[in-house]
Amino acid sequence: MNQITFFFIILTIFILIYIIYSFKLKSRIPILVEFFFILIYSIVFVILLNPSILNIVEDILNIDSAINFIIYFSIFLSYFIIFLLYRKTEFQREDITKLNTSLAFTNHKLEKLSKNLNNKKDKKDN
Amino acid sequence: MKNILIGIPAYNEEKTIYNLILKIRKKGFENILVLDDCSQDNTKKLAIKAKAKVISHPINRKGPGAPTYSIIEYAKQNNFEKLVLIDADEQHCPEDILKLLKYSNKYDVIIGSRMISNIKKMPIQRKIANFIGSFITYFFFGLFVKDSQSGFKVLNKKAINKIKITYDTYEFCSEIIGEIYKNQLSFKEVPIKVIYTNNSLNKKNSGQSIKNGFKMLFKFFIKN
Repeated sequence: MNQITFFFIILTIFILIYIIYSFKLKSRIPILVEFFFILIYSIVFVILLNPSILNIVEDILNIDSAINFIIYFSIFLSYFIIFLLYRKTEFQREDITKLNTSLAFTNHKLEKLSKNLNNKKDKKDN
Repeated sequence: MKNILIGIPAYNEEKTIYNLILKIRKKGFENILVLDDCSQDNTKKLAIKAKAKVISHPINRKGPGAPTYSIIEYAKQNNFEKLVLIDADEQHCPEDILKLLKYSNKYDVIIGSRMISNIKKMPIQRKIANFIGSFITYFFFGLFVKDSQSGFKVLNKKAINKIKITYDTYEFCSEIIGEIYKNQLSFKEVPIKVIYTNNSLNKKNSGQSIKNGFKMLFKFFIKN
């Protein structure tokens, strides 16, 4: 095991501890998302400890290089996750617009009330 | 004209809003609502001076879709029979409001179309942007309208209650066409006069640009 592998093993352990700890703190991230990231980093941890597992994967999938497959698949998955996040923000944007409208109507009613009150006050003073 | 609301979505339109409201009032319309999308200039002051009702968004939503949504909500809540949507940049002639209203008893939505009689006057980049917009609208929403991106529309009560806008920016124009198709509303395109001024052409993020056309395509793909 070389130094770089050792560094990444320690880093993976820290990340796993952080993800599990943030889940315990009820971080508002959905359980499935937490589980997904725990699974990903657990797989990374196992591969770092025992790289020969990749040979088994290559035999099962009948491919030349498991590392290449993992890299391509990771890129593909990352873009899909970005797409899902963009979609989510679009729906949140709609909610903000509805709130904005509701607030605008409420402010308008308050302005009207305030004007009426001031007019009544002026009439009383006169 | 008491049950007709004229809705004007506005953002930084101090140069044109006052004159536009006066012209509309001269045609006999009393209920004029300016939906100010958090303008940074004197749009609100001038609209109030012209005796229009003004409602201001506390934050800017970066496009005419959000103020149009608010105008439709206002029309719904206050039970107006008809809603006329008109641009604040004096691109449309208030005289055409009566022309569109003539058809509003027969159809749910009347669309003022620049692509029927005034296509020669339209700048080339607007023609291309409109064509892209109409094609994208047809592709995603199944209805071909010559001027799908027109901001000059009349909605009757049925349309006011059925049409739901969710996009903040110019995609809402295509979304309205989609809502017409989804709710099986009747519609008609009526030719209107268009005035292109330096002000309306040079505005930042001005209307239907080719860039906005492609942005629209991307957003429809994401949501649909």
